[in-house]
Amino acid sequence: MAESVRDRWLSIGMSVLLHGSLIVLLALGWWHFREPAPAPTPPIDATVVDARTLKGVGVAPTPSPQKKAPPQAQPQQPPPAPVEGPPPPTPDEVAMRQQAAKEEAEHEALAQQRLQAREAQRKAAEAAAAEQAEEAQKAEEEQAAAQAAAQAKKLAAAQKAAAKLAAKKKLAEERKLADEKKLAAQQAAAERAARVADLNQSLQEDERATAASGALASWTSEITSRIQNAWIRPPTAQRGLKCVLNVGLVQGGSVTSVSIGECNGDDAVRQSIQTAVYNASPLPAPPDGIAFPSQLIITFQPTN
Amino acid sequence: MKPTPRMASLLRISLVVLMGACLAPTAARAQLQIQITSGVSNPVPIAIVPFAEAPNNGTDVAAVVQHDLVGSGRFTELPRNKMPGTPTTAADVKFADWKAAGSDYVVVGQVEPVAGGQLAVDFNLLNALTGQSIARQRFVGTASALRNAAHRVSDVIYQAITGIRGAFATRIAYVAIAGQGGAERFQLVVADADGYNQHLILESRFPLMSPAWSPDGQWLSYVSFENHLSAVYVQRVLTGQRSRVSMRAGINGAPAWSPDGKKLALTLSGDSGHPQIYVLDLSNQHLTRVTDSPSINTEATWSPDGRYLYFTSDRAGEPQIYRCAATPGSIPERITFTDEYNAGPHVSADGKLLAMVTRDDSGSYRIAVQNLTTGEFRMLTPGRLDQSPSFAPNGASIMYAARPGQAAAGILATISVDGLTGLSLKPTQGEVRDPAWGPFIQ
Amino acid sequence: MYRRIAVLMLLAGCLGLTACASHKPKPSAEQQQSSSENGAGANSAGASGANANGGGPFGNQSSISGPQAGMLAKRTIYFDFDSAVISGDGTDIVSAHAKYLSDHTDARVRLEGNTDERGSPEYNIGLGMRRAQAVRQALLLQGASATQITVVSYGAEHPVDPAHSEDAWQKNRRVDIVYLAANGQPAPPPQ
Repeated sequence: MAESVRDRWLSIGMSVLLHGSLIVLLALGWWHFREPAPAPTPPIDATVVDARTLKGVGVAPTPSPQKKAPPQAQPQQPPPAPVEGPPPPTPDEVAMRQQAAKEEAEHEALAQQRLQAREAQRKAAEAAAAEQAEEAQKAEEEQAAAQAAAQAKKLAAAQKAAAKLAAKKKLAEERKLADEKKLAAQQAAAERAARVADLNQSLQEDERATAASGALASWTSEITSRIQNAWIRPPTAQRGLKCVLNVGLVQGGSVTSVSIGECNGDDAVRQSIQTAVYNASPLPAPPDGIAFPSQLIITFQPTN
Repeated sequence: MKPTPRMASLLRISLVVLMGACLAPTAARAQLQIQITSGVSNPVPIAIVPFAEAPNNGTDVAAVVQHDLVGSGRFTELPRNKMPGTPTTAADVKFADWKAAGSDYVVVGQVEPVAGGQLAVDFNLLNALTGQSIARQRFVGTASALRNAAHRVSDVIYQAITGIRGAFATRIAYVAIAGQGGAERFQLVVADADGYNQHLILESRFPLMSPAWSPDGQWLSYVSFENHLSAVYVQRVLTGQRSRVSMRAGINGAPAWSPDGKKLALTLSGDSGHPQIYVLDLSNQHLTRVTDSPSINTEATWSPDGRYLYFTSDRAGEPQIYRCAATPGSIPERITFTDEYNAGPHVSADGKLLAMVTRDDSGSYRIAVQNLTTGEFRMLTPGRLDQSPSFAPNGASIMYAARPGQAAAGILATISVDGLTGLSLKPTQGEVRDPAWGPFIQ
Repeated sequence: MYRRIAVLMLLAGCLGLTACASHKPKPSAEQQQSSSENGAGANSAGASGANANGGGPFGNQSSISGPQAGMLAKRTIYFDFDSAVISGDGTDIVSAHAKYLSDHTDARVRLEGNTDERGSPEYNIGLGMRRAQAVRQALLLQGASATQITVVSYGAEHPVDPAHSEDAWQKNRRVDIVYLAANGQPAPPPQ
């Protein structure tokens, strides 16, 4: 079929239309789908932490004693967004008031705590003192028992001393009787009488010694506790320490001399025990009938 | 049978002989024996008389000595207005007066100029009861070192009376923070143990922490965040010369010098994020791993013999203190069992006590000590936000960081090992923390 | 000829249909913008401002959609006392940043772990690291790669609030996500 002019213009028109619409569609598509150039937007500083990490740019610390250069100026930023975080940020004033209230409460609590601490300390000190008193008592009791045993020995010695006196008397009488052979019977009778008298005397000595040992024990425990309370024990005075002091006394109980005998303590211990004895002077008066000994032997031997 | 006269006299003679034999060991004179089995632990009353002073920089030597001794808790002072005189030599002291005033000991002394523009400090420690001189010494130095001379006087007096070596002439290191709100300056500071004579060792705008002294007192090791990451440095205190010891990935922290000064215990986490204890040999940079557990293991401190490390680990859930040999593969043994949080260990120089931060049932963080022999555990401070305990080199007290109130800045404080006496060191501005008590100065 | 015309019209129609199909994201971008305005609360001014300054009305088309959009502007994850567990908002924040990191393979972050001031300082360094590692693991699981992440712990040394109160302690128990430029210095964070 021959192409007419009309057909040709029609086909040209259609193809123009088609191509035109294609181009238009392409253009539209390109315009819609183009990627926007990434614009450098300034950072949003939502938290203080970010500002600090930015601040550290470019400045390292130098060793002492030079001061460092001031920090670089921070890059331009928009005003920061409010701080984020769980719970929503409270206004400053309320926070300040709350903090002030908390401070007051804290001060009070601290004062309370201090009071309680002092109370606790006092109680602890009291408990410690009570403990010490108990221990001192126990020690005293043990000492009293030891003293009683020692006193029993002394009693025996005192008895022996008295007996020796009596024996001396007997000897004198025997010599007399040995010269007088004629009065053997009378001598025997006299001896018997003397023996009875001796026995009576030793009995009386017995009674006096028994009375004296009780008073003696309580006097020595009094001296012991006075020295213990005066001995400020240095930390180096531990169990295993044994130090012996020879203490000179005068009547009235004043300490006139202190010399250190066998002692395994350091200088601080030696100072402390001498000081303790002098601080305990004058010693308490002994019970009636007992004189101040001229010498005391004090052994420091802590048990814990 | 009736005894014959001869037999009777024989009997009596033998009786007398026997009596004599029995009597022989008994002394003729009376002697009293006393047994002392305990004492008291009161503070020792001492009078420190103002020294005869040469013109100096205003240091009152007697006042410094008194502050040291009374602050230790083992002494109580005679106030100056109660002193029966102002002697400066032993000859001037009327002992009876001082005993009557209640003092067991009297300290007298002088400060006088000597050749070379220096000052000599002479002191004499006297027993007021025996009248004897216990200690007497002279220290010579510059006027600027007068406080140090006073501390050395305190050390001698302290040792003469307590038997323990004094630690008053020692130094401390700590971290100070000045400024706030994003413009903080972090400072590493060395000062006298009483807080005077501060020297700035390092300043940074990034956090510093965990200073640690070398055993000879010449070096400090510390952690710095100056590279936005943690790193461990060592720095010579006198010259400022420093070198970086470790900046590995992850945590670099908690440096601690071995007692022989040749090794550094470190906490490193690497990429895994689990902090472990390592030992770095400073001579050859050889690194040995000591712990191996998927938990936090940090804050190592050495035993005095250098064989063990005590450290914090939360392998059991909450942080507790463990001990293991300072060699790889050793199995740690748990040390603390009181409370649910025990951290920040430090061992005393005699190896007997372990100081730590503990959290009590009320949530308060407090300093406590545990006896490593008996296991006895004792709270020392009231808390609430205490941390970083550090023993004095004589083991008699502990320095730590405290925050005494809700709004208060951090301060340093000391507490005696019996928990009874404490002092605080407050900065005039800013806050302080992370104290490390230096060794004895030879 | 008419067949030719018909074929051409059919082709044109198909092209038109595909064009319409790719218009679909436009309504969801608008939806995203409005939801970010509603959901971001305090950040709404910033977010919408950014969208206005940024690349036109379809700005974030290549990144996340839905209510997570505002999460990218949040760079702090908070934790409970003595815990390294990510919960609540933290989960969404981590997801948002993980997606961003997986989409932008040259982005770099530094995770900074922190604790409140209580307790022993070096132990707190360990706790802060535990939190930072938890965030790191979560990021890796959701598409970030290990080379994009460095981790540091400041323990209790870097608080945002130095007060000694529960409020302050809550704000300090956190992990901060800090974006870095190629030279390792802090960089503008994503929108």
